[in-house]
Amino acid sequence: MKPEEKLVWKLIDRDITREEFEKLQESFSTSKELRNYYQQCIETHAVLSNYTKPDHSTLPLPMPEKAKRAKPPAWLGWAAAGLLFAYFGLAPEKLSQVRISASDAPDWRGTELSLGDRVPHHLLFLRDGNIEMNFPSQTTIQIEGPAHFQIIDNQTLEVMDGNIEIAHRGKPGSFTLLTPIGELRDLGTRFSVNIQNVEDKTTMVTQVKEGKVEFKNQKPAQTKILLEEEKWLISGTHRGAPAEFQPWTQKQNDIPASKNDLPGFDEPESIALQTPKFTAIDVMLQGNLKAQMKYSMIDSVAQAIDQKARILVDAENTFSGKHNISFAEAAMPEIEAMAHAVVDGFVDFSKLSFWSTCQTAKLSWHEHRDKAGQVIHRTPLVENLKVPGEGNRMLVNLKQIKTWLESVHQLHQTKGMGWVSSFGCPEDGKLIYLRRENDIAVLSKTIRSIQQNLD
Amino acid sequence: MKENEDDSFFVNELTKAQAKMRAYVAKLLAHSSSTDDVVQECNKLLWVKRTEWDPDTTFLKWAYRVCYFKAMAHCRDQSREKLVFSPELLEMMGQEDPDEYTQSGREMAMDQCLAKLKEASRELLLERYRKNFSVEELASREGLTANALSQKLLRLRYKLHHCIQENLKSNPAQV
Repeated sequence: MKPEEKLVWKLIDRDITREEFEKLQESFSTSKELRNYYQQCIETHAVLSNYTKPDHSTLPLPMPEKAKRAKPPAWLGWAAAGLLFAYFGLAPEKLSQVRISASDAPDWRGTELSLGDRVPHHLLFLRDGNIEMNFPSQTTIQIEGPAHFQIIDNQTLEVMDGNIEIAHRGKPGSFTLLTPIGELRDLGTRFSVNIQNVEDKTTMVTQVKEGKVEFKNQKPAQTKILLEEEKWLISGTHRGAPAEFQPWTQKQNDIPASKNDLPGFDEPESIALQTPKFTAIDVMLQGNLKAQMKYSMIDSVAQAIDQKARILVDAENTFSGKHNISFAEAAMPEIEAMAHAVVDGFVDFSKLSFWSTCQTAKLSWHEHRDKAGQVIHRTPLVENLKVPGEGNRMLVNLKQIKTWLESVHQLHQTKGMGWVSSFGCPEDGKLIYLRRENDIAVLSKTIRSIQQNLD
Repeated sequence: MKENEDDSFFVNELTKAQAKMRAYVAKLLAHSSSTDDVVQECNKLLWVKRTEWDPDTTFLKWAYRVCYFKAMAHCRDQSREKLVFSPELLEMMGQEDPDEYTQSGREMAMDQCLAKLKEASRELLLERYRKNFSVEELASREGLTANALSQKLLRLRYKLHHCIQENLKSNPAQV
């Protein structure tokens, strides 16, 4: 092989020094033969790069265990990144056939939708107000905020929490509502659902107004037909766990089926007090307007981060791990962007108090009864939790982001400095490595600082 | 209807030309990672100018000229790119169209040439191209240093390329 030909291959690999490049340019200027050779090599390289035929396939040669954490095919990384970017709204996203048909003072967080808009397939958060959506399956859904929901396809809606009213006039069984504890299949009917998540449990009050509804979950296989005018409290922990059914009565719990079912001002105070609309933090901050405003801002930031983090968590849960590629590797751009936004954003997270980033207390009620034993008055009490809950998930998400980032960093160490550089350049890779190392250090310090801010 | 038929014919030609266009642009851009972006720009421009193409002329010839000007513009705008050919060389190379062997012809030739390589060598080369393993990982498996493995891969590729070119020359049907 002539030295110039060797340089041609080095150029194709982008593994050529500036001096070598200049030398090659000179050779190109004087040799048509070398220029032809260069062109042909580029074509051979292109065909080799896309070569997928297993014509000569032999069993892959054994690799040492460590080597199985391999660099993915470039296209796969881009495909995964594209998919995740789509989730983040950085790339055009396919919209469903579901449209917003009515709305009343909707307060969206994240994606905002207006009347007539087609609804995207990603997770949506309606903080307040009401919206109505029309599905092609001749299903009309009303959702009352606060609610998290996602259009799965043109006949399936997943709702994490919120009040939902469903009217289905299409073919029985052609619309499904996925909930955290199972699915509700509409058998030609009208029904409402109120879904609430408290700690690790989901409760769902389902009221069938017309027709019937089938409840199903997978493990153990459970099916129950809910009949017209029935109202059930269904509770459980997840779709794979058995659900419990109880006929719903007003006395039984605090969970209203919807705001329409809430007692009005003309109803006895004792019943109205069964529907608290505040949390332990509201009680803790009562009378401290400045703290309330501060916390509402923290809560909004926490929700924004949580919305993005949950998308990645969902992606991680459904990630197949084919082609020997880890989730951290496929989602590296999104993980790094999220971490960098936290570290180098406009909020100094290290100043946050521990209680504002998780749940340190819960609300309990002191009941006052009359002589007949009827509750006439209830006083909210704040009870400290021995083990803090996730709360607004700020702390949980910061820890998660740090964990993801550390996985990427570990991979970078394993793969070598040139790994993340598009040209395989170790210097570029080193810069990225150092920046990430700094982000990890800042994130760790932030988390430590929050955990020590015990005011 | 006529317009639709013309568009359909144009799209067909454009689709067939993609591999050759990419190779041509890659050559001018010194195999830069921006190649695909520039090719995409070329596609857009070709579509906008589709009525200017005379179907009695060779599509690729016309496409190469559009690609050439797009590549020139790209090189001019790339102040941070270190590996950019001089305008004189760019012009010289821009006037030299790629050979007429099609991608499928080259693939067929590659099939035959790969079959001539030793099994272990073939797998090594393809594994490197599939990018399933880094040079360091492959070197570790082969019991070589990374540099020695790179040299080995270079020789294999050189040998394969030589075989492909000989094969193409001896099979004009692959044009």
